[in-house]
Amino acid sequence: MGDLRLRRTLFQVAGVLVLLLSTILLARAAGPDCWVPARWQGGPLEMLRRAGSKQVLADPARAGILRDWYNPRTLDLLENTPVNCLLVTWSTGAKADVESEQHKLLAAYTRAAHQRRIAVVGLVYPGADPARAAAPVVEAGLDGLVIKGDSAGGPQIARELRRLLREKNSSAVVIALGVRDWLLSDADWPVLGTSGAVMPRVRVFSESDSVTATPTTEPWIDSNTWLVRSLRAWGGERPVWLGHRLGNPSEADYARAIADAAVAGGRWVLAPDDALLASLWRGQPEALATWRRIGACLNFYEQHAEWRGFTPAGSLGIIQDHAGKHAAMADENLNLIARRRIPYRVIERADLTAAALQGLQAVLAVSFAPPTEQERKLLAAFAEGGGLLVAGPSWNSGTLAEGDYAVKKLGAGRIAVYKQDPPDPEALSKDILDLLGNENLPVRLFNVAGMLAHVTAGPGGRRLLVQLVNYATEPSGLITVRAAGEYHRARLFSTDAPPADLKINKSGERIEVSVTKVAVYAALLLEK
Amino acid sequence: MNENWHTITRRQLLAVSGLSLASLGRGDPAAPAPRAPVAPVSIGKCANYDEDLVSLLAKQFDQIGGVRRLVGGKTVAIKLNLTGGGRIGTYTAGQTHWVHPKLVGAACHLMGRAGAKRIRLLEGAGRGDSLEDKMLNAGWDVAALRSAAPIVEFESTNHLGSGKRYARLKAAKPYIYPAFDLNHSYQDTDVYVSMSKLKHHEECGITLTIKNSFGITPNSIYGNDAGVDEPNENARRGREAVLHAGKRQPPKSAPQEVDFTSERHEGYRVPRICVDLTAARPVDLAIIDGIESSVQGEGPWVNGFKYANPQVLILGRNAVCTDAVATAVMGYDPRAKRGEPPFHRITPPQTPGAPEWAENPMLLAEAVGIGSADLSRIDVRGVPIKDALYDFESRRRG
Repeated sequence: MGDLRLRRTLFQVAGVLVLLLSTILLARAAGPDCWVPARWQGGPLEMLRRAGSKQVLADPARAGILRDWYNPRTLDLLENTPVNCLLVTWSTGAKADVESEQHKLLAAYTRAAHQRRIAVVGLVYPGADPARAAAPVVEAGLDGLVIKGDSAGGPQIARELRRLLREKNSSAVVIALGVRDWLLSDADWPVLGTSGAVMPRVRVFSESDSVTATPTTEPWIDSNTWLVRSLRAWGGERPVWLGHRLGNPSEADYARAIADAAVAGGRWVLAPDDALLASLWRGQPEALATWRRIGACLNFYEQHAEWRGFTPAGSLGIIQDHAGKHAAMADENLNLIARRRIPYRVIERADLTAAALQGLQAVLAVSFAPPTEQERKLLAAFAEGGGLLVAGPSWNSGTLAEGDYAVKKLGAGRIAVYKQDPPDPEALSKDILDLLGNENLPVRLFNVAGMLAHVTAGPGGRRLLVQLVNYATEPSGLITVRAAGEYHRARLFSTDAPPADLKINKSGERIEVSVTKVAVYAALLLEK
Repeated sequence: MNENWHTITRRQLLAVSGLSLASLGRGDPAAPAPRAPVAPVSIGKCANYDEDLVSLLAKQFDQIGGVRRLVGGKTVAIKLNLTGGGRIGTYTAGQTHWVHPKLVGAACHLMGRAGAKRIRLLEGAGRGDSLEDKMLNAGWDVAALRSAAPIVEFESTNHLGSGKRYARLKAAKPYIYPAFDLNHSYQDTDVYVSMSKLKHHEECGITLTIKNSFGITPNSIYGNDAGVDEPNENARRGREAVLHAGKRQPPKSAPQEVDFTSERHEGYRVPRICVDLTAARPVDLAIIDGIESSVQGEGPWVNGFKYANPQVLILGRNAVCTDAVATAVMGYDPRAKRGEPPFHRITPPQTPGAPEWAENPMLLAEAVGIGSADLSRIDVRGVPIKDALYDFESRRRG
């Protein structure tokens, strides 16, 4: 009898929890925070836009598919995928009647999308008239507008659109998908979106099959993980979208683009290529299977959304100052230090406090304007307490560098001061590794020439997450992950297989785990 | 570059296969030194690393006199050829420019079984890494290697390592350096094994077990960032300035060159330094991994570097004899003079007009009595050269 009552109570509690969870999920699905975006361009306006930009489709059948894309049946493709925000062709500066026809088409499509809890946002291209783009938003029921382009005027257009939408009592949001500078000059973006990202991959520079390199050179990896990290450090809780397209993508390229953004907590705006869309329209089984797997990839990261809240783990802190005079070089430092697989934490200059430096072995402070007296004291105290401070010539330590930098003792720690302002990022990234020492890295990876890792820690520091992305076209194997700490469980997650426990080998105060194969992505979750 | 390529001739091939011993080198300025020692060399065929390497290696050890007599109760140091990093396509480094881990494991296993007291695997590792880290970075199963014999140790010899001081080893008849300061492991051993790859070398033409000894020099003393007075234990750079080009000397604490006015061209210096090193640290067992390999250079950083599959394993007790046989297996004349194939630069020089020739290290070694490069004097066992022949030159060009 008691058992029955207990069981009933448990059922009731579970029911309440499920209800609560659903409410939270539904509530979240309403806002850009959990929009999972996809480019979904089509209609007559898209045809015209492509003709104008000379992106003429070679296959007339494909052109027809593109024109008819806003048939509600295309929404069926989104079943079993987490995609819940479609970026549709909305305004291009074309003739009013063409845009009007497109808006009518999209009004019906948006209603159908909303029935499926899918948000629709309209793409506003360079040349579009803000007034004409904003006017039909309410009528069509759009959830927002996305400004495309690379001119300097993006933020101005955004402000104008916001004003126009407010006048119409619209709650539609305005999102940027242009150059990164737009984000920095406007604090009101609900999403930190940029098209200034690259197709993630290993780049081969040689024309032949061979690679031009030196005995110690590793392949050049294009990745956007550093960019996501930089934006998240600056933008706080706001979601980060990367809006780049892929050139002639394979299925693995899609998986890689999704993973490259997701490991650092961002989202790649899924951009299915025309060939894939046409095959999906025709219901070709291979394309549908590919689409299902792409959807499964996206699902994986949404199912592990908790990982986005993990904090970057690393012994190096990099101070980021967007007002600094060498912003491009600062970006390159983030990029190249990540490529050396040195785990780091980005610290916004505004957030520079003693607490922000807690747990770090080294701080890189070369990319910001001369520090204030308070910042100087803080950083000097960090070094005196046993840390390593890497600074630019403005630090003026009184030590002349014979080489690129000079190292001198400061209390229990060291300060390395560069002669050049700013230091060469390539040399700096190598120097950082030398200064820190391989053996002091919290996580080291072996046999990962074409891979990068993003290392984060769960709340309380009892879980360490090592996410691996393989940028090479071939799977990587026989990888060793070495981590400092007493971990007793290692679980491997991937997008295409159930989680598996891996054997942990202890080696002094470190542990080693072997990962047999990584096609595109794998995550190793270490638990204390 | 010398365009008048000529590789080993049919007549020479007949000579080395035992059908005619008459003509090789006769009347040549590089005529064989009659007193240079000789030792048998074994050639084995093996399609790839999935074959039974333990059985093959055991058979080949037997063909050159057995491994028990050589290593029983002794400390064995094996200098591996793990030059640089990188890879091409889906090939592992061991399939192209490094010795393969399975071959290393098989050698350790057989030596352990033959009673070797301790086996030390040696090679330089870069940027503060241990040798195990370097191996892990190439996907090697270090734990398996460690358990391949009762005691298997690893040491990066780019620095002082676990020793208290550097060992000074002298060359009796030096070309460039009268002695070298080396990691202790090259002295604290009873048996020294040079395990190299069968492959080309961009500047020197080929790289075999004599050339493999170039890598025993520590960066702390022979690296570009070596100290001026003393070794620099934080050195991380290569050996171009000191050894290749002779632009600077090693630290004052180390032996200096015998003649500061000698030729600085690397094709002159590197082969001579390798011979000096081979004289200072004589090779007791030479093993050449040509099962899978590469053509065009010593690593994937050389333009045009390509995978090759010679399917041979060559070993012998004398490094010069073993290298000579290996050179013939590659389709070249082991008595070729400098500038003749394969002894010249493979890719165009970085400075137009710079010399492209390289010395033949086997003839240099022969001249100082290390071993004979005269195929007619070398007892080749197992597979005859003609049946093991793999034309590196045409594959490089093709």
